[in-house]
Parts: sequence; structure tokens; C-alpha cells
Amino acid sequence: MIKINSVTKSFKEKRVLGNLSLEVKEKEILSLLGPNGCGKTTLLNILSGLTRQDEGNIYINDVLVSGKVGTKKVHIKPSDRKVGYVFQNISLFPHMRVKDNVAYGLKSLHLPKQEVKKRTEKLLDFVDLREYAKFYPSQLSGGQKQRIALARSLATEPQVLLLDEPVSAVDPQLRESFRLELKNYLQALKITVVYVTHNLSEAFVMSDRIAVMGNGRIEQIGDRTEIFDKPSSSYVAKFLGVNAFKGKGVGTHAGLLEIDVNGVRVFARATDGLVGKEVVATVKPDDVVISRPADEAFDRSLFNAVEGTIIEMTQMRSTAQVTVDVGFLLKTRLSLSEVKKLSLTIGDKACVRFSADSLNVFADSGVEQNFIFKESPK
Amino acid sequence: MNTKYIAIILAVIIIVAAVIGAYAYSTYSSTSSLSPTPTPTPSPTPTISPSPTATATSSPTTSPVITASPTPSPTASPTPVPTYSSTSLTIFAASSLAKVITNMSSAFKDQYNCNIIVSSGSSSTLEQQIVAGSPCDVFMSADTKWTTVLKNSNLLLNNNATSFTTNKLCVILAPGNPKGIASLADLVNPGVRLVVAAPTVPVGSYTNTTLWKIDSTWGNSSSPQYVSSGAYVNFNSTFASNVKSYETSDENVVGDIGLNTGAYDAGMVFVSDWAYANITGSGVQFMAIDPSVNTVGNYGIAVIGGTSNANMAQIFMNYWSTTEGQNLLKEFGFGQ
Amino acid sequence: MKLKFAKSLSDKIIIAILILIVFTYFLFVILPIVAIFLRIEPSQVNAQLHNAAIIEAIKLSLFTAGTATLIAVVLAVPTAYFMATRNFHGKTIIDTLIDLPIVLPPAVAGVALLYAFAPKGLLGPVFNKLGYVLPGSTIAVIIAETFVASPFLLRSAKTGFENMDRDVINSAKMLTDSRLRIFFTVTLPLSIRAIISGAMMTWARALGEFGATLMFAGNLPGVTQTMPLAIYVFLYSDPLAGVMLSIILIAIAFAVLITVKLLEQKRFGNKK
Repeated sequence: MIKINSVTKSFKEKRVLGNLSLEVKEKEILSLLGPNGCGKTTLLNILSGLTRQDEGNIYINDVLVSGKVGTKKVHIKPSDRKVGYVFQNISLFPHMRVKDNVAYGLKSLHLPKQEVKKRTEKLLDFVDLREYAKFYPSQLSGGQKQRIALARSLATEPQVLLLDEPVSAVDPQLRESFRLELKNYLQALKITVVYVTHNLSEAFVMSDRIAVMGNGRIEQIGDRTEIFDKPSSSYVAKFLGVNAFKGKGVGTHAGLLEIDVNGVRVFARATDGLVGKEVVATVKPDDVVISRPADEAFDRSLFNAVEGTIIEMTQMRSTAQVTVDVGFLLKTRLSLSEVKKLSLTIGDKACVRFSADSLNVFADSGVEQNFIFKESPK
Repeated sequence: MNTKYIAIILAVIIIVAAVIGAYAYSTYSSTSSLSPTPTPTPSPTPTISPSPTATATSSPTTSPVITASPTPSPTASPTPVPTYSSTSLTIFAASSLAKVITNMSSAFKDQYNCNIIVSSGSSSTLEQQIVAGSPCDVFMSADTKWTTVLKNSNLLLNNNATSFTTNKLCVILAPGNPKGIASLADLVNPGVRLVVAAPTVPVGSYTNTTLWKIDSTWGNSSSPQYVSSGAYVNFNSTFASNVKSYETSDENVVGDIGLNTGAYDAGMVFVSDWAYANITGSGVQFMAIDPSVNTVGNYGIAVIGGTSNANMAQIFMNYWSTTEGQNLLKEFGFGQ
Repeated sequence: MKLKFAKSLSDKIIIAILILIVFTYFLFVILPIVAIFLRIEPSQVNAQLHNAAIIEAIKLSLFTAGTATLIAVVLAVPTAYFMATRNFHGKTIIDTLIDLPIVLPPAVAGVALLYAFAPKGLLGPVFNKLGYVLPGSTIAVIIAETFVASPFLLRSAKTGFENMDRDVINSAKMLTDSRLRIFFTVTLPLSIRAIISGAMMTWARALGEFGATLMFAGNLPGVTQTMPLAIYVFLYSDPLAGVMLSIILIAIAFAVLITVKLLEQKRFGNKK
């Protein structure tokens, strides 16, 4: 439905998007996930037509809406693209009532008054806010405002809906419930949706496919299992909180690839084409099991088992994340009760193990990948 | 905020008010100590160095004679020069006198060690300021009317006011005389744009008097100056309909004409105004007014009763009646 | 006056000093105006209000100041919008140039206007062809007032446009392709307060305009003699009358300004 081909955009010498390509399937809800400042909003603005890209083509429904064909430049106005946009800061018209906000997009269609009224009511019904028609935006809560913003964007019957961190304007404790409400609305719409967020769990709740964005381009796109189990770059891994470490493939052993990581040997189920190459290996914290040294006997041939020192312990709501230095850093996740049971403290020696299957290995492209985007080459 | 702080604030206010009050009181009741307020003399005037005889213009009438003379200086006295302590005089003078006073002030200072500070403006305003108590030593007015008012209010030293010179009116024309004005009758031609002083200032009221005279004497068909075009009939009102602006000082009238922007073609001012404009080369041209209808302003001078420097003030006042003073005034267009 | 937030002694002293400063400044501004009003003699004021020349001057002042403000709105608001939303080479210079009339002493502004529009000025020949001479006309008064007062409106409107939430405009852009419609239905209503306050300042400045008017338009009762000019002339001959006129002028200005302020507050409230 949406095809983005090699789009580049710079602002005052700073390159925000570089050769970014992305395809959004028809009627899918795609999350655009990435840290703040990585260019997600810029991409939305380019898609909507509010910003013009420096290079590259944008197609919506196979129509070139912005770009170059041969020597001819095309740029269809935002209002003509059949795209709806819900902004991060809501941006309702503060001086107009709710019903006038929603009806704003209808007015340019020159419909008779009755028709406008009917459609406005329908839109308000869709977001369950009909009784607030005469209110002013300042009288609504954050969540209500966003629903009105949604209704407003639907007035032009768009084929594509863009949402920029819509949940950020809502009170933190109300965010989760609002998220689910929003998801219901989006699913009921049955149109193509691009949903921008920096929040991991939100991306997983709202959509099936996630595009992880970084360094001015799409790093990886896939569903939950794909990107968690098989992150394709250390950037994606780090962003997702998955362990990533570098090493060198040194040989094969019983069908497994042997990797040397700072002197420690680990084994992974991976192709032997990686022997002699620099590699990056990732493993989810959930797949890393921690125990006291020599607590259990286990078959060392099946697991990767290494010893190390606990250097950090972080507590999250009902789980704890423990970081162990085994020559490289490994994060593992376990429940609070388990932490207590094992009486783990910082500085203790611990044993961590993970199966060869849980490792995801790929060749190290050698490009240092950060969260910060680089300056464009001069 | 508790009352303690309100009290502190009030106390500070009262103290500050008391200090200001004490200062104000001492300034206005004392006649000596504080130095006179420096006055804004209009833009730095060059010392009037005598110029070659002012050129007559294309108009048939002649300009007043302004003879070249050496820079006026006080008469070299044969007797040993007395030494004077350093003093100063504040002169309130009609704007038309400002330049001539400035011209003689440095020589005056050399001789009498007395600094002359001139505050010039409209005579009526100056009179009001004197009445209001503005410190002043000598008052020089463009109209004896104002010195008389002060005399009747007992504000003069020894109740003494004299007339020391006169000033006549003349017509000034824009540089190049684009409208080709050759006589008073031409002033009321359609399309001629005039600027004069408002009747509330001396030169303005003299202008009105002159207009009335022209109207009543020349507008009469039996008068020898009556012109066949009847231009002088109702001269007052036809003149007024050509006036595009009333200025509040003669200097401004000269300035408006001298700017030469085409906004004004002619105006009526004192001869002294034209004389100065001529010396500074503004290109403004001169047209005389027939003595039979011209108005002569009588200039008055007096020492103010509250002066703190009566000695010098009297010397200054007397200067203008001397031959030297009268010659200087003639140079500047007065007493023609 | 309770100042619960001032906890320490030094805080209280600072606040006390602050109040003192505010009070002094207030006094400084109000005192001269009060001093004038203390001279009021109602009978005199009444007499002046019946003086034909004064009524002329009042009518002329209100007419010219109002017209100048209207012209300023028509010219300065679009200019402000243009400058707030576009970047171009030399923008800073143009920006400063447009602000210059404020810096010019009014008399100088008047001379500049003469050099531009008087018969011998730059555009003189154009007007001569039309058979029209600007100096000495009421239009010249309006021109002079617009020249010195419109920068206030320009600045205020420009700031109003610049401070607008871009995303609100962007939302409108997504919903309609008529930029004109966006300007009138979204941009303008959201910046109307800045425009109104700018217009108020412009009107006030135009009403009090003296130097440029005298220089460029001249002083002709009924045609170019606005209130400030009339007051000036009166001060020379009849200071009492001049003071009465000043009181009338101050009263008129105050009445208009406060009416606009109150209306604006009522309509828009105290929200930002």
C-alpha cells in the first residue's frame, strides 16, 4: 500500500534519513519503533506531504505522491493524499468546538449542512464522544482529545492513517487502557496504519509488524518473534534490550559454530560460513538462566555455561534484571522471588547458561552502529 | 507579608519623599547657589562671520543692506580693563534673537568674564516661564507687549523695560522661486502654497496685521496700489486660503521653505530670519514688503527682578543700546 | 497581602524591595498624568469642548488615527505573516529596516516623508501629474501616522504568528488544501490577540503623533491640525486651554484603550 523508496532527508547539514526504504502492506497496522530523535516524525511528515524529502520516491496505493519520475517532479499536497494524521501534541483547534474540529475536513467537500452534521455525528459516535460535540478542546481530558483528533483525521476518509506517539499526551496511569481503546478503533477502521512510538511494549500491543528504525533507516522489520529472536543488527538487539556481543567464528564443533568472545568460547547453531569471520551474537535475557556456581550438574555439551561476576541488578515491576560479567556482559531476567531464593547480590560469583539454539548469529558488518545519527558525509 | 515590612517600606518612602521635597524646596527658593539650568540653544550655530553683501534676487525689490563688518567686539576701552569674577547670565530671548546673541557672547565673555546662556523660544512662552519662576536674568522679547506684562506684574528690576530694536516683516520665497512670485499680489494666485506663523506667536500676529493693512488700504479701488486684477481685495481671506500650514515659530517657517521639497512656495517672516537664512546659504529668496503696509515689531528688553547678577545683567542690557550693539543688530537684519 | 511562598527572611526582603521598585515606577508614570488632571477645571473643559476648532481637531484626530490603524492592519498583518513563515536571503536586514520608523525622531520621519512624497520629492512628479499635492492635506496626516505607527502592529502580529503551534497548522493542512481558508479559520483566530494589542498600540501612537505630522502635513486647522498639534499651538498662547485639551486627549485615549482591553478580555478570557 505504501512504498517508500530510498528516501533521504537532511536538516541543515544533519542527515536525518538516509536511503530509507520501507513497504507497508495494505490494511496492516505497522509500528515504527525507534528512540527519540531517530527521524520517525520526519518520516511521517514526509509520508503526509508536510515535509519534502531530498531524494527518493513515495508511493501510496501505487500512485507516486512525491518524488521524481525522470525529470518530472511530483509532490501531491497533504490534503490530496487521502492521508490522516494524528499529531503527537494532539493539535486540535483550540478556538473551535469539538464538532467543528471534526467537521473541518468535511467543509472543503462542500456538502450540504445536513450531510456534514450527519457525518460529524457518525465520526463522533465512532470514538464514543457524541455527547461532547459542543465542548471546547480545553474541556476534554488527554485521552478524549486524542480520540477527537482521531475522529477529525478520519473526516476525509483517508486510506492511510499516521499516528505520532498518540499515547504520550495521555496521563501515564491511563496509558495502558487508552492504548487498548486505540487499538480497537484502529482495528475497526480496516485501513493502513503507521503507528510511531519509542515504547517497545506499546509497539507490540498495537501492531503485528514492527519496523525498528535507527541511523536514518529501517534496521529491521518483522513480527515480534522475528525481531526478538533474530535481531539482524546489534542496534536492534540493544534497542530491544537483547544481549549482543561481538566475537569471531573460530570453527565448528558437533554441528555448532564455535565463537570466541574475548577468550570465552560459546557455541551457536549457525552456518559454518561464519568461520573466520567477525560475528555478532544475540541472546534474549529470558533465555539466559542464572544459578549459583556448581549448584546443579548439567551436561556442558548442550549448554553454553560460563561463570562470571554479578555487576548489576535492576528491579523492574515484578522481575529483576541481573547483569553478569563473564568476559562480556550478559543480562538475564528472573522473578523477584527467584532472586531471593538464590540470594543474589552484586559482587557474587554466578553461573549463567543458555542453549546454542537460543543464540542468533550474523556477520558483523563492521559499521559501528549507534543510536545517534551521523552527519552527512561532506 | 507582615506589618513589619509594610512599615519598613512606608518609612523608606517617607524618607525618600522628604529628601526630594527638601531638594526641591532649596532649588526653588534660593536665588543663588544652584547653577542655572543649561538651555538647549538651537542647533550649534556657527559664529556669524560677516558675509559679502547679501545678493538681491530676481525680484525687483531690493534686499535690506547687510553690510560686511568685522566680527563685532566690545569697544576697546582706553582705560585699564577691570577684572571681573566669573559669573554667568541666563538670557531668555525670542528665537529671532538667538543667533545675534550667540555672536556677541564670546567677546562678552572675554571682556566681562561672564558666561552667557541663552534660552530661546516664543516670547509668549518665555514670559510664562518667567512668571512661573524659571530663573532668568534678562528677558528679550519680540514684542514689547510681553515685557510690559512683566512690568505690570512687578517682576522687573527697577520696573525698567525698554525697546531696543525693531524687526520688520518680509516675504521669503522657496529657492529658485518656482512659482515666479514677483509681488504681494502673486501670493494669492491659485496654486501658491504658503506657510506662516500661527497668530499666537509675535511674528504670526504681525503677519495678520500686515495682511489686514494690505486688505484695507490696497484693496480699496481708489488706492494707488490697487491692481486691476483686484488681487488685494479681501487679501486677508484669499491669502488664508493659500496657507497650508501654521508654524509656531518663525524659524520653522524658514526651515519649511528652506527644505525646498516643493511643499511650500512662500512664507512671511522677520527680516532678521531671512538675514540669517541668507548667511547660512539656504537659498531662500527675499521679497520686501512695502513700508506702508509692513508691520514693525518692537523688541523689548528688561532685567528680571529676581536676578542674582544685576550688575552684569545691566551691562548686558545696556550693550544693545550702544552703537556697537545697534550695528550688530543691523547686520542681522534688525532695525532696518 | 499574603506571601506564603516567601520562606526565608532574605526572600521577604527581596520581595519588599521588588514591591518598592514597582511602586516607584508606577508613581513615576502616573504622577505627571495626575499632575495634569489636578489642573482640571470642568467649566474650562466644557468650554473647550464647545470650541469649534477643538471639535474639528478631535474629529480629525479620531478619523486619521482610525484610518491609519486600518491601513496598518491591511498592510502589516500580511507582511507579518510573510515574515513569520518564510525564510529568504537578507531577511534579517529587511526585518530591521521595517522596524526603523520607530527609531527615527518623528521630525526626521516627517522630513523623510517630504523627501519622498512632496512635489520635489522622489514621487513628486507622479503626484504632480495627478494634480495633487500631499503636504497640507489630511491624507498626508494619515500617511505620516501610518508610517510611524505601523511597525508596532507589524512586530506584534509577527510575534503572534511565530508563536503559533506549527502542528495545529499542519493538522489543518491535512484537512483542506485552501491556504486562504487555513489563514482565516485557524491562523488568524489564534493570533488575533496579538493583532489586537498591536493595533491598539498603533492607534495610540497614531493619535499622539506630532513631529512627523507637523513636518509632512503641516498645521492647518480643520485639515491637518490634529489634537496634538492643536495642543501645541495652544500651549504657546493659552496654556490653560492647552492643558484642558491635553486632559481631553488623555481621556479619549484612555476610554478607547480600556474599552478595547475589556472587550478583549471578555471575549478571550485570561487563557493563553
